[in-house]
Amino acid sequence: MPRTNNTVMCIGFYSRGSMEAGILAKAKRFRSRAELQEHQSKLLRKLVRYVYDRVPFYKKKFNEQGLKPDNVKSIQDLQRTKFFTVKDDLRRNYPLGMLAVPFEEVVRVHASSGTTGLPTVVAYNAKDIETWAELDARCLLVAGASSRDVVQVSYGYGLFTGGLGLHYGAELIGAKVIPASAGNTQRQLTLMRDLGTTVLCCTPSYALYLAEYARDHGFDLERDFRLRLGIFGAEPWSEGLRRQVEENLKLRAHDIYGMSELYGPGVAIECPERCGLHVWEDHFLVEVIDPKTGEPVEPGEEGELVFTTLTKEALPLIRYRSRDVSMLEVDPCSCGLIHARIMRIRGRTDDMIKVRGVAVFPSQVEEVLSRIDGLTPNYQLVVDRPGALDRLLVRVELSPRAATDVLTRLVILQRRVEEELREALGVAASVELLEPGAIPRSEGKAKRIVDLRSLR
Amino acid sequence: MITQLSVFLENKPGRLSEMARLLQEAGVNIKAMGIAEAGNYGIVRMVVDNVDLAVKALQKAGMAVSKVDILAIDMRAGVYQISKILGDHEINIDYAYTGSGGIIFMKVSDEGKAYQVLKSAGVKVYDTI
Repeated sequence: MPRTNNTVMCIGFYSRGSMEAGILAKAKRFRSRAELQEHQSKLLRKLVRYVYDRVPFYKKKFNEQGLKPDNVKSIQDLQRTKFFTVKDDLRRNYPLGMLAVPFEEVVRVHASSGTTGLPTVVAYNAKDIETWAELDARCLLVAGASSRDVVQVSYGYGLFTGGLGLHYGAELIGAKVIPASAGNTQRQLTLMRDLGTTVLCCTPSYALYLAEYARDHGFDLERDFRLRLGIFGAEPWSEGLRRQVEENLKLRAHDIYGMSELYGPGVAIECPERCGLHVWEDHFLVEVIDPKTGEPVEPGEEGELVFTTLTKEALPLIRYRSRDVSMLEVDPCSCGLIHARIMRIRGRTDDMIKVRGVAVFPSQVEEVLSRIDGLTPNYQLVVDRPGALDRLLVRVELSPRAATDVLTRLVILQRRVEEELREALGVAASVELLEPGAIPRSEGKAKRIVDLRSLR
Repeated sequence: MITQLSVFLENKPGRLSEMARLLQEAGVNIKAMGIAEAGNYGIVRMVVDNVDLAVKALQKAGMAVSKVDILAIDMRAGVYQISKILGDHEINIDYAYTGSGGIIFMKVSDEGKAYQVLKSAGVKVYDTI
């Protein structure tokens, strides 16, 4: 893989402060988008040659498209074709058929859960691990963490990239890292309190559960805890959930984005402005396409995010379809970063369910539920098809605060949720109010959708 | 006036017994109880012999429970007599249920006023159970 960047850091020579400055300086080294895009095109040209020579899958694909690597000067040359890499390509080449380096060079593999049989395996060489750590370090710094922080990483460690990704990033900025991994909530909170955790990294749904558990088990989040920053990702979440988590955990929550095919977490992060997540465009070339036609959407329009990895060496990907739905904002951000921002992830194309032909994302439901007093953000969508028509049921837990002796109040609440859901989704949903705690809690990604239609 | 507990429960087998189990384990007795249901959920309204203990036990289990003041009236005065006095004074009865010992428990639109008019008509209204 081409290394155009000559400023590889020598960790030993830097004090903590200048280490932080060095990492940020690399993120900020482009003066204009034109300069950044020129840098991207340069990396892209080398990448195309690199994968053509090293990955039979890509060589075949280029040949099929009648594309010569030397003719690809910019991303527009690829946009003219239907050149994409999809998750199924990785599965079909299981376990590591798309590797661009000799297996001997691999130092790490991760795998994502395969809901349909085989897991998707991704591989890293030493340079990839270094780059990945730097990306997560950037994310932490941009969100406001520093070497003085105590960072508790409560993403799962192991085959899932969440834990180790943030772990290496936090170590690189010189923070104190608690590799708590997911689960054992009592111990999580005990460590958080006793070691004075200031930065929490986990899924937003687990953050909410931590708050709930703390409240029910005699922890005083206000008095005994020092949390100030949350780095939450790995699942789509709403502004409403952000408010709840911030209020309950007494911290400032930042959204982080990534996926194992693109190293893991650390692809994009919210800066203090929190209007979108800055994508590290010196490492990823990001596009937004219409998932149906594969054509790029107009600027500012919503579509599927597509990523080309510009610096990955072991398993580079060209125009990888993320299946995440969002839009891209390239206007300058007041934080000073010129990296484009992906606006909040609305959902995944595979999280999306079609109810009577209408696309519904769990995040839309969450947004409605979280603005209505008396409910918790613990919910589930159940779709079935009792006759000819789909039926959407939203099950949501009542907040203990909403307890009442007046049945009418609950009936009115239920109807209000149904009305607001119909308005927001464009399709009718019936609502079931559940007892607090009725929906099983998840230590990783929350399971929001139960589709009973697929069982028929 | 006495305190009623209202507990939100899902309308499915086993939920009432779960609630009753928690109270039994906390050493709380249920003196009177009524259930109102709406679709997949309902509210259990009850009078217990130890409100604080009951609330603590139910909340610890994560249940949604609330407290409200209701009237405990001696039913020997007759349901007609009691409801007529309240009706004559424009006081609405929201709901009612009976408990052991000939007591009728009522949630009314104005507890303070109801308490006064019943007392002055010679109807016995309990302050404790």
